[in-house]
Amino acid sequence: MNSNISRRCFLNHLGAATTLLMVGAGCDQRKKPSGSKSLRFYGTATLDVGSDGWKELERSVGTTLSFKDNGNDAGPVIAQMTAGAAATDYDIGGLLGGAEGVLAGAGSILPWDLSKIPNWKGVWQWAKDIEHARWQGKQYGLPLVVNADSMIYLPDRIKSVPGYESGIIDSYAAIFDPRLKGKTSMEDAWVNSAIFTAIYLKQNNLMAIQDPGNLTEQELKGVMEFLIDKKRSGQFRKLWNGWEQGVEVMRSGEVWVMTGWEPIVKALADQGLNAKYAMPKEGYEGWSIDLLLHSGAKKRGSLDLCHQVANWLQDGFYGATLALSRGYAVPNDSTAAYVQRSNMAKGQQVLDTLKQVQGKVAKTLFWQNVRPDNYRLYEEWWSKLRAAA
Amino acid sequence: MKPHHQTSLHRIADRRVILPTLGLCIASVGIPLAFAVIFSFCSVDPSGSFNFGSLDGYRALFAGGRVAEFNRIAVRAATVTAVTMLLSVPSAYWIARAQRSSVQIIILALLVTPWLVSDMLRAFGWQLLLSPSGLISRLWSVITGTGPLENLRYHFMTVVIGLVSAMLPAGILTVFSAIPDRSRSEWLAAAELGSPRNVFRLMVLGRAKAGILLGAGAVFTLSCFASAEPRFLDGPTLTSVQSIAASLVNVGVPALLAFGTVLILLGCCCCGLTYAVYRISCRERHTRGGQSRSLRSERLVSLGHSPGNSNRAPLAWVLDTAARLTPALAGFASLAICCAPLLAVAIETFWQPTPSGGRWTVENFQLMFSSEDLLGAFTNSLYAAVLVAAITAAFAFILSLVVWDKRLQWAVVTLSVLLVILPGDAYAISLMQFLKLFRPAEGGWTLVVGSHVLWALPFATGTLMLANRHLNEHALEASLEYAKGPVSVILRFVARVNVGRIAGVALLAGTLSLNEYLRTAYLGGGLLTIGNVVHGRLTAGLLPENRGVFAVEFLVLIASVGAVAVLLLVGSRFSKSQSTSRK
Repeated sequence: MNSNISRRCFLNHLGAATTLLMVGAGCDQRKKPSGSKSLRFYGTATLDVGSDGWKELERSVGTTLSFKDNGNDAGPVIAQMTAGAAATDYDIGGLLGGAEGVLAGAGSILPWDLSKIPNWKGVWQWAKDIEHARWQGKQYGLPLVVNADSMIYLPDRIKSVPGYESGIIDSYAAIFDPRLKGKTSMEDAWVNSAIFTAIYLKQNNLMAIQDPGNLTEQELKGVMEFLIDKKRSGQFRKLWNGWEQGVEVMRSGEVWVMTGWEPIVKALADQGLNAKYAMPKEGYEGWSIDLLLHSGAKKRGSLDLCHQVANWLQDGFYGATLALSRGYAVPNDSTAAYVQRSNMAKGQQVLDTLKQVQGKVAKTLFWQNVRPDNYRLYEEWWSKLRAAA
Repeated sequence: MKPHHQTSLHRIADRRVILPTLGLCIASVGIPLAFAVIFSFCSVDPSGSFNFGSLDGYRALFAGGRVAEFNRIAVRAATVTAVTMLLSVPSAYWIARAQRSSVQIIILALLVTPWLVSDMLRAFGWQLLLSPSGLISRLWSVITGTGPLENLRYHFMTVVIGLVSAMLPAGILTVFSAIPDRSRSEWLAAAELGSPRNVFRLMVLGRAKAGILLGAGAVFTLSCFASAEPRFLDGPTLTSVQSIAASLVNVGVPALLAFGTVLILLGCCCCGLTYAVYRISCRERHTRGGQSRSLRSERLVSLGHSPGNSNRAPLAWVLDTAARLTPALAGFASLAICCAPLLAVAIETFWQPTPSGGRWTVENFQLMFSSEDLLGAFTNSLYAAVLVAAITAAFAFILSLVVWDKRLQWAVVTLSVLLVILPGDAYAISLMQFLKLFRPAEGGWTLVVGSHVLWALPFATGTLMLANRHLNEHALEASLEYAKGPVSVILRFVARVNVGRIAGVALLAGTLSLNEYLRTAYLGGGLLTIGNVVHGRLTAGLLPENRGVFAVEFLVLIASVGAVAVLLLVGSRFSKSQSTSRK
């Protein structure tokens, strides 16, 4: 065999294959026909209703939407918005409430023109009143999803523990109870766990705390030292991180009670487990994911379109879809109206979700804040917790 | 190396070819790096503007428990490096000794498979395997008749296992590429002169020393920067460079950039120290002159055949037996550890949870094909991976020529170290700040591909530099003598001999790009990739309709293993045909 021919053949084949692959991949970029309107949505993955859901938007508003997960962690998202290019790369965003001030101050987001969002009128009043969604009197965040979180527990397992024979948990004390040592968990993020601990300490008069969502330096010290002691004593099996791990630690039975997101209960039930969501006497942690208008929308001339999309998101279909898939509520009357006018197959499930959220919010509620006054100290203390052995 | 050899071979490192590439790489990383250093000394006001003259970023770096967290990461990475290299060295020797090239191909193809799956899914796979209801626990229950195994996961050693599984390919491939080819006469000489343990000592610990050092360095660095394994397997809380970076960026962008700057300084110190040690060892070797080689040979003979060693015979027998058996055992163990998490992912591909437990199904493939987002993300990732593979392989090949130019070699090694240790998010933010000087910066394809190339480049360059060191000097000199010029030698000789390895590093770069998440998140604009989709689903929840991600990763896996096998097979046939035609 002639070596040169062989080498050339090999290189030619390799080159041809690479070119084919690149061209093939390049041809399939699903480019939208020129002239069609398209928006970019940079949000917490929870907000995604999938291609079927976004097709409904296309039918109603005439725009396509490309959704990209922002990772949910507020710190990196704020960095990407203020120091990176996310503010200009995307038209709208969805982030845990509380970051509006810092993002608006940096010019990364713009205020919504509420007169262009007719469905805003139907938003529940308490959702309109959420303070962190406004900055300098303007509405920068539209509460898109709201809920009130507490604890998830496994009644069948809990029953075997002295003092819990009823199989019911109604206090955050269970998370820190030595009788459940090694069987409890919280989320590995101060944004949720610091506030839950503060709620427990405040409501049981174990520590003087003004606002569990915005702790002073001394309050934070007390809360975090309490958590560090609990970690050192082996109270927590594992501080969970991300939805899948939250489901997994409960599914496996390694954790019997943990603070966490309500849809995890639904996921566990879907897998045949008897899991319950607690109604704690100390109250709930309220949170919202707010819809943000990126400064890039103005640059691309898509401000009006963004408002139309914001209006559609509050129009019922989106709320009903999210309630069914995630068990979350869009805080307005449109969802219930949509269920009634469309005769949805699982309409009752959607209505139950709405009723449940309304009920929880009516009880004692402390709002989560991703940007408390001492957020730098929160980070330092959480680092101490992670390093504690 | 004799002076005239150095002069003659020096011509292959043609600066007309190398300097533009090196310059481009230095500019690509140097300019953002300079911005990172400047911005690390800034504070940020409420309007988002940077004001120079603040040490807040550096203060944040040492505040709280961060020093203890760094320490924990370093100890973990050192443990992972030790365990990985203990397995990698004998495994590489086992593969290198394999008589049939087809066996080598299959083993190598299986070894690289963990890198073809997203690091998040790989770690997720370990989490499932080590669950009390996982495969390992069930097997244990069946064998021993006892209850399920608890506490297998969420502690220090679990992360070590997960990371060893992820790092073994890097360790084994680096050592393997440094071991002389089986056809080389050194193998015969070593076998003639000594016992099995001495062959191992000579051919691996002696000849592949550089590969072992490079492999250990790569494993340590990659372990330090790994985030998926700590996230899924660490406990009770997680600690990783990424979790620290996320915490610092929440404190303020300067804190993250200060983190990057300190890492760079540490990297430069390590480089300087290594260089100093290298210079000292060179001087010592030069002083000792030619004695060392003959002394080593004598020692080899005395160890293997000296009659005076009869009282050490049982020990020698044990060592020889270990030298025969350990490589195979380590090889099989490495294969099992590498492929274990993939088994869990494969199971998930054909599994759908139900209220009654779950059922086997191919529904996940239907979900994949019906999801435009998933298919779009897959296509985008593939497209980026192909571009990254091609560009990285070309750049790495050019930069690897510096093995024949000692001065440039240190520049490339330093650049590689900088590229590896600069955190992806710190690089992305600095790059954006630089681009904002000219116009409102927007993310997109170019930035993603560029950042992925820079991420994969040090690994690819290191591998090809090792390969170049094995090229026969006399053959190179002869080709320089008869060819039209150094460029001709580079293209017609060096590239030709290394064609398989170039394809290998292209594949490596492509796989690194395929599942990269962090740089894409910052620089990708609206670009949807597989890494992004997998990260989003595992963070926010895998709804039944989202389980198509397992199917898409499974397809990537199958396609890539097939591609690796075909590539290696074609490469081996090609080299076989080359040697036949020479005869």
